[in-house]
Order: sequence, then C-alpha cells, then structure tokens
Amino acid sequence: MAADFDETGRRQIGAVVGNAGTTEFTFILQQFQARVGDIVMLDMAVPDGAYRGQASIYVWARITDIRRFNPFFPFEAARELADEGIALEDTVLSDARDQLEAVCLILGATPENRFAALSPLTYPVKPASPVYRPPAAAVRELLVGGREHEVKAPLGSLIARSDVEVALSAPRLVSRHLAILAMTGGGKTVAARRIVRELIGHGYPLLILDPHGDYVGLVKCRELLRQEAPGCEIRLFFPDLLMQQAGGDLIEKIVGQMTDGLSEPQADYLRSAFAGLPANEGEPAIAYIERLFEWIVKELKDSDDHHRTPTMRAVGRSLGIVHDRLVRMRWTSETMRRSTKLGGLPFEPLPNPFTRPEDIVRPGQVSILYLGGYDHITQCSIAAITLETLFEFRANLTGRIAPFLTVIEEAHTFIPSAREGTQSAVSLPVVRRVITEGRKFGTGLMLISQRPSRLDETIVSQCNSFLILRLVNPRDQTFVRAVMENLTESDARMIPGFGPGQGIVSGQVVRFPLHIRVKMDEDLLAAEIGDEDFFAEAASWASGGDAATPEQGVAVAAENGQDARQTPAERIAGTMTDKLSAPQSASDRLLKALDGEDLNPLIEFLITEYGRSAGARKRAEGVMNLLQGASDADVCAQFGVQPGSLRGWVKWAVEAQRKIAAAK
Amino acid sequence: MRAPHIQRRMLKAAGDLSAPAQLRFRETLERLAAQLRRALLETGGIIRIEKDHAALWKSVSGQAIGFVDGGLANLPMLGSAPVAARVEGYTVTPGARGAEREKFFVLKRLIDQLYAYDEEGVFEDAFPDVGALRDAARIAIGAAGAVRMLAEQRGPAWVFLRGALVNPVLRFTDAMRDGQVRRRFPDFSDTALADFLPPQEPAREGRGRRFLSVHLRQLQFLEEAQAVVCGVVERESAAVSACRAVLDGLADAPLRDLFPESPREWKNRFRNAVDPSGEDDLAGRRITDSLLFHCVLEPGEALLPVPVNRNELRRAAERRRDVIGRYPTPRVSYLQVTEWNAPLRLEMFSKDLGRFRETTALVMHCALLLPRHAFPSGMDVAERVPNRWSRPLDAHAAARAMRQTLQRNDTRLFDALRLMLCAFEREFLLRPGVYR
Ligand SMILES: Nc1ncnc2c1ncn2[C@@H]1O[C@H](COP(=O)(O)OP(=O)(O)O)[C@@H](O)[C@H]1O
Ligand SMILES: [Mg+2]
Repeated sequence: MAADFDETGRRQIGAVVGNAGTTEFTFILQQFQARVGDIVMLDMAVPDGAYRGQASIYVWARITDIRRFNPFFPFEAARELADEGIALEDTVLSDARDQLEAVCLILGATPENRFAALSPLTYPVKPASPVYRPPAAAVRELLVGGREHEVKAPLGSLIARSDVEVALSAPRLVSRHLAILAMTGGGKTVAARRIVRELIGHGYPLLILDPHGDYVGLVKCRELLRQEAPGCEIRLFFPDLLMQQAGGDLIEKIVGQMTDGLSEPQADYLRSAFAGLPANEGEPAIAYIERLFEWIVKELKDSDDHHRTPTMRAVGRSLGIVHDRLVRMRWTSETMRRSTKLGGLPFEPLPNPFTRPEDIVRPGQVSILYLGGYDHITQCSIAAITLETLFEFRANLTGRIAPFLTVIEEAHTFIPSAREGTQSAVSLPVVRRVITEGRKFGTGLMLISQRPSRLDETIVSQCNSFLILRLVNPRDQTFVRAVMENLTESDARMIPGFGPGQGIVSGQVVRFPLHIRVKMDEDLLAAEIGDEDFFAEAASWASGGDAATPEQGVAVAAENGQDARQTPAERIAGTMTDKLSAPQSASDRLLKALDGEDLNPLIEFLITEYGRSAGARKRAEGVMNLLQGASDADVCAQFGVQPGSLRGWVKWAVEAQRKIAAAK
Repeated sequence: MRAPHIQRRMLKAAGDLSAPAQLRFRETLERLAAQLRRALLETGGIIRIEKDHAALWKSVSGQAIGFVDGGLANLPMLGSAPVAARVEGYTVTPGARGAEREKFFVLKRLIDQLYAYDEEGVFEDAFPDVGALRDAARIAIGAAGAVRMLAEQRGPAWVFLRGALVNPVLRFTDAMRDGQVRRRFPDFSDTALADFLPPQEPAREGRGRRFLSVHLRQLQFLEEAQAVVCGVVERESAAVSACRAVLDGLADAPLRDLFPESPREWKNRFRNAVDPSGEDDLAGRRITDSLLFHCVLEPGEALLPVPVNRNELRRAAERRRDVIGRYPTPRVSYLQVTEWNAPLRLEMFSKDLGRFRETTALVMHCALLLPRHAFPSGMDVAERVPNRWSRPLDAHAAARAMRQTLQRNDTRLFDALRLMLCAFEREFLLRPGVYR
C-alpha cells in the first residue's frame, strides 16, 4: 500500500479494525506513519437529520496509544532467546511481521467543508475504513475552529506534528486559571516563560511570585522583549512584610506558626496589644513588632498584676523570636540578591501595595516578586498580603488598577493541601477567593507546582485549564486524575513518559485536549539563572565572593531605621531566662555549632547547592530555614522529611562550614 | 506411570470408555510403551538430540530455511465450506540481517479455478466427491509452495512442509461403478499447472494433467533437489502405521532376550494390542502413533526413521499402478521436543536420511523457540491470533459487492472478489509488505 496523498492533501496511513464505536476505535497503522498524539481523520456516512438519506462527515480522532506486536514472536520465544542468550536474527524467527495497532480517541465530527463546527459523533465508525493523516492546515483549522478572532498565545506544537502549532486562547488564559503541573525538570518554568512572553507581547499586566528566582533573569532579556513589546517593563522586586489595616490577625498567625504557639491567655494579651497599639497600613511588620515589643516592655514595667507577668513575658519573647527571624530573613534575602547568582540585577523594594498598587500592576509591566531568603511562612504571608490587597483594588471596582494575571511558582508553598499537616497557610484563603471570584474581576492565576499532590485539591480543581508535563510520582498522578475530569485513562498513562516540554494541555484554553511539545525559547535562555557554571565559581572560590557580610546585612537593617545589632530579644534578655528551657531544636543546635562563625561563605555554598539537584536543593533550603530559626516541625512538614533527617542536615551543614573555613 | 500431561493425554484418548476399559487401555499403553522403548534402545532405534541453541544456530547460519504451509480457505460470510486453496511460504536466513533475511509469498486460488471443467460443461455434472477435489487441491498447492521455493536461483537448504510429505493419493482418481468409470477425476486447469509445476515444464496432455501425474512430478522435483525437504505433522491422526513399520523393521535377534515370548509372538501381540479391532469394549480404540511415541520417547529423543508406504500398489487399480508405483515411500520419524507437547511427526525422502540428525536437531530447536506453535516456524500463528482480527470487512458490504458482480455476469470479477474476501485475516498477517 503506497503512502500517497489524495487530492485534499491527506494521506492514508491505515484502516480501522475490530469493534469500532462512537468514542474510540482501533486501526492498523502502517509503519512509521504516525505517532501517539497525532490527529487522524476518516470519512464517514451518517444518517442525516431526518433519517431520509446520508450525510458525509469527517471524523477526527487523536491517537492515544500505539501497540506494536509481532504475532510471530510470542512470549515463550522471547524467554527462550533470553535464557539462551541468542539473537532473534540468528534463529528462524521472524521479526519483519510486526503490526502496529493504534488506539484512537474520537474528538468529534465535522462537516466535510467546515472543520470549525466540531460536534460529538453519534454513529459508530465503520470497520475497514481508511484512516488518514490530515494536512497540517486542516488540523490547524480544527484546533482553532470558532476561535479565529481570539488573541492567541502560541505555546508550542503538537507532539506528533511539528507543523501544527498549538496556541492557547489568551482571553481565556488571563481571565480563568491555568495550572502547570510537572515534576522538577518537566519544563514548567520554560512553559511558563513562554506564556509570560506572549502576554508581555500583548502588554498584559503580570505579577510573578518567584520563590526561587526562576524568572528574575527575564530582566536580562529586557531588550529582546522590548523588540516584541515596545516599552515593556520587567521589574524585579524584593518584598518586605508589611502590615494590613487589621493586620493583627496576621501577626498572631505568624507568631503562632514561628513559635511553639500561643496559649489562649497569651493570644488574648497579644490581641489587647494590637488594640492598644494598632498597626499603620503598609507599615513594615518588623517595625510594628518592635513598637509592640516596646509597648509590652512598658506594660511590664508599669504592671503590678503579677499573675499576668509570665503571659506578658511569653508574648514578648515570642515577638522577639518572630522579629529575630524576620530580620534574619531580610538579611538572607539581601545576601542572596547580592550573590554571584543574582548580584547586579536591578532589584527594587516592592512598592507598598496599599498605597502604590499601580506601581505593581500596570499594563506593559511584569512585576517579579523574588521571595528567596524568606521561609515558607513568611513567603505565604507576603503573598497573601500582596495578592489580597491587589485583588481588593479590582474587587471594589474603583478602577485603580488594570486586570492582571498572577503567576504563582512553587504553588504548593502557598496553597498546601490540608493533608500536609502544616498549619494552614495564610495565603490559602486568599488564593481560594481569587480563584473563585477572579473571573469576575479579571485576576487570573497561573499555578505552577512540581508536587501536585501537595496542593489544595479544591483550589486546583477550580482551574479551568491544565498543562500537565511529565509526572512520575504515583500520588501526583492520582491527584491529576482526580482534578482533571476529562483526562482519559490512556492520556493519564502517558504522563510519566513525557520528555522535557512534552505534555497534555486541556481545558478552556484549547478546544480539546492536545498532546503538546512546548516551544523552548532559546533566546530566553539568558533567563536561566540556575544554570551558571559552578565549576568556574568554585575555582574562583578562594578569592572570596562579594557577598554581603552580616555587618553589611546589619547595615542594611540600620538603613531601614532599625538597630538590628541588638534585637528586642537581646534587649530584654535578662527578663527572658525561661526561653532556654525548651528542648534543643535542630535550628538551635545548628546555630550553636556555628556560633561566632562567618556564615557568608556557608550561605553562598548553600546557594550553589540549590542548582545542583533537587535533593541538594531541598537540603540546602532546609538548612537555610534552620539558620533562620525555623522549628523542627515546620521544616519537616515543609520538606516532607523525618526529624532524623534534620540531624543529618545539621551535621552536613556544620561539616560544610568546617571545610569552607579550612579552605580559607 | 509418567508425568501428568501424558496421563491427561491418555485420559483424553480413553475418556469415553467405561472405567474398567479405561484402566485396561492405560495399562496396555504403559506396558507397550515400556516394551517398545526397551526394544528400540536395544536396537539403537532412538537417537538423542542435545539442546544447544548456540551451536545449532551457528551451524545453520547463512543458510536459507524455508517453511511452507498449505491449506484451504473459506469465505467467512458464506460459511465454512472451503472455496479456495492457499499456500504460504516463509524463507529465512538465520544470521542474516536486513531486508533480505526474510522472504514471504502467498499463493491463493479458488478451488474451481484449479480444475478444468470444459468437457463436462455444467457444474452439476462434475466429480461427485467434492471433498476429494478440495483435498487434492490442498495437497497440490502445498507441494507447489515447496516447488516454488526450490525452483529459485539460490533456494533454501531446507524446506519444511507443514503436513505429510507424501499423502495417500488413491482417492484422487476417477469415480468407478461396476468396473466402469462413472465420473472422471477432472484435469487441472492451465492456471493450476502453471502454479503447481516447476518452471519450464513441457506441456502436458491427457492423464498428464491429472492430479496423480502432476503431484508425482512435484514430489520428484522435491526429491531431486539439493535441499532436504521434510514434512512436519503436528496433528494427531488415527495412524498406527509408524508403529507397524517399527515392528516390521526390528531385527529379531536383539529381541530374543528381552521378552519371554519369541520376537515374532511379541510383535504379533503388539500389533493386535495397538489396533484391537477384535475386542468389543476396546473396539476401534487404537493406540495411535502419536500417543504411543509420546510415551516411548523422552524429551530430546527421536525415533530413527522407518519407511511408511502410504500408496500401496496392491490397493491401486490396475490402470494406475504405473503411476502409483513411482510414488516415493517417505521415511517417518517422531520427535519429542518437550514433555508437554505431542511428538512431531517428521517425514523425509530416503535420500536425505544421512542428514536426518541435523534436520531433526533443527526442527527441535525451532520448536523449542515456539513451544506452543505446532509448526516450528510459527506459521500456524494465523490460526491462533485472537478473533478481533477476523472480519475486518463488513459482511453486508461484502455480500452486496458479490451480488453486484454476479449481476454483472462478470465471472472473472466475481472470482477476483471471492478470492479477495476469503480468509482475509490470514493474508493480512502473513503478508508483511501489506502494512509497510
Ligand atoms: N519545551 C522544552 N523543549 C526542550 N527542552 C526543554 C523544554 N522544557 C524544558 N526543557 C529542558 O528541561 C530543563 C528544565 O526545564 P524547567 O522548565 O526548568 O523545568 P521545571 O521548571 O519543570 O523544573 C530545561 O533546562 C531544558 O533543558
Ligand atoms: Mg522550575
């Protein structure tokens, strides 16, 4: 059978066999003529509307599985060959007679002349029908049918056909929600950058929550992007935790999560402090905590109610711990921004979302909020405050800011599943609200995660579109099956086998689920911050980095109008002797072991560890959190490890520090 | 007695007998098998073949090996009566790589295309034994497959035919009544002669166009070939001829000390026990060759070939004796490959006896690769593939098309369509080019 094109430019590639239905059929495929994911078509006659005659239609289908089998090479033969260590070709067995059997999912039917009107097939496919590979133009018409006038965001091409572009519907992308789910290395960031680039091209306002600095490098591509989108702005922000008007709740939550928790009387007392000393909107949390702290110190001095003194002290001590951690994180963030990895990039402080929201959300501007250096609790808090504030400006319909799309990388940090056992993230209710009401107000979300099963299921299932790339973890696969109603079994089975950038896109952004190969924008590779040459860096190590020293960090703090040299905790150290009665945490052990050491090189080292592998990154991130004083329980929950691992991490970090010190 | 699978086979052979009769049947079988084994071991009538894939495949490397499978095909939508005869060929060169390694062919003809009815004219007047016509067509087309392989420039070193090498042919002669020819066995058509005979054969006339003569020429051509031609039969039949031939061939001297009775008495008793036509409750309950040698032979053992004449002169009509007398007498052996399969029956020409051992070793190693396939090349696979392959054509559409061609009175078109439709799924699997 010659593989010839007919007059419509299509080519016969096989014939339907076996029992065919209205949703699926199987055909025998000629060798080398199609791949899984390919779109095929066949001609069919169906009864017309009045059952008086026949109408000719095209049936469109997607190949979901191709099985190759050689009926002349049964299992026993394979076993005998294997046992004996002989090659098939050396025997009389045949290997030329294998058959390809392709299973197809029927997408629908169209009239012969108009592929835009895809309707469900209601009459079964006829066995023995020839199956065709349609010309690219026909497939393109099918993919965009009825959406010709929508703004499109090209994402890549069909896996099986590089000549058929797959573009997302940009309006549906920005007003609804898209989840990009894949294991590390699956190509999430590459795909997200591709989409972001298209949206930049249309001048759509974007906010990117970027915990790992995957996007900050876009700023290096500014000139390139400006050629496509004249005047576009890429701005890098680093955050500060700011207070909302009724921000006491937030502080209470943070205190609860960063310490061992507050007792009921302690919480009551803290609330009374909030009432007595309200926060100013947009006031840095560190400054507010210091004011609170002073207020409590004064109260302690003035108070003669000896029963309440321990409660007041405990609250003060907790605030001290929180303050300590916030300062330390601010310093880590600063150090990271100055590291060889990010140094030189034009970071600016995040404009106050309460007072200057239009500096964050603005047509033609991408705002990348780099959250590196902050622990998850704080990242969540910053995200919650920023997102909620901006959302309110949309929801109150004042027209203060334009509609915008928020990209949330590492979404499992911000919307962890309740099963994760972490205390509820403060960002969770905010994201939930945005995802349910966002459509009304033009605040779309793009959620990106490498651990789907750690995501809040109800939130993710409200995403109207999905881009699923490679996922191997069975729990993640189960999760994806649960949240994506229209995922077929055969598609689900493909997910672990995808290569980088290959996946399934489905939902409102496309007409029907497609197997896609995401286009890798080579010219955005400069944005790949993580792929620096660590060997070169290691070679020049002895000469010393240009990272900030703690002194510099303190200097930064001082610039911000605080005396970071002396924390509030230290200031009232004498009154807080009971602080030390708690069992020693991993964090304490680590800090004690490193007491008096210069930690800059260690932190630089941890940062390089981030880029080495997923495991190394986890460990480095964990140690970073411990350095910031995170509790054992928090770190274990965040990283999904046993407390025993923390001991290992502490040992590893202390040893690394020893080695670094010895090398100097 | 032996392993459970043999017990199962024995039960199958005797399952419908009464309980005491069953017991006797099994006892008889066990006793006979044990005795025959002793006799054969004593006389060197059993050879052993060691399993050694590496050595065997090395020894045949670079030599083409052909497999031929002939049979009948039907039109599934018209029922199970065969309308066509077909033969498929598979030639493979172990050790070769690339496209030249494997070659295939399929030859398929409607049965009535193979016979010339011109003289008779109307079909109703044709030869009454339709079954004989079909069988003759099947046998001739099967042999034609082998002829075709061996006629090639560089033909194979072995050709394995699925089925007997030499069949009983006495059926395929004129229908007689009261010493008179009632109906002549039809001549083969020109198409058939061209298909069946070696190339460049002189034209044939009269009797020369009949099955007996044509098939004899086929067998002679196969016998003259350099290659070893070997029939492989996996199907059980009621035959006891190999057992008889073994007994006939056993020298008396070595048997004298083995059994209490004299060799002649033992052989007679043995013959009667194998085919106990006289006894009531065991009437017709033969101990077939297949069953007997399954019990006699251990895996890896083969019976040294014995001559089995399928076309005894004395049964042939006087007028046919010149032809029948020239039919070769094949040498028949049984090969036990694994203990769970029935033994394979191998048939060869006597001139190839010198290559019996290597040929048997080759068959055994083929069969080891495909233990669940009877014919050692796996060509019978088409009979085993799941049913989903069948009826790829819509029966209604096919019937409609056939009616249309009939209405157009175009017999050639009608034949072509029938051929196309029959046994489609087999073709489909055996013609690798189809979907490439
Ligand atoms: N669409 C693609 N085409 C080709 N290679 C890709 C593609 N997407 C990702 N990759 C490769 O995989 C690597 C990891 O991609 P990335 O997007 O960073 O993964 P993730 O964010 O899922 O961890 C990239 O550096 C690139 O080499
Ligand atoms: Mg990534």
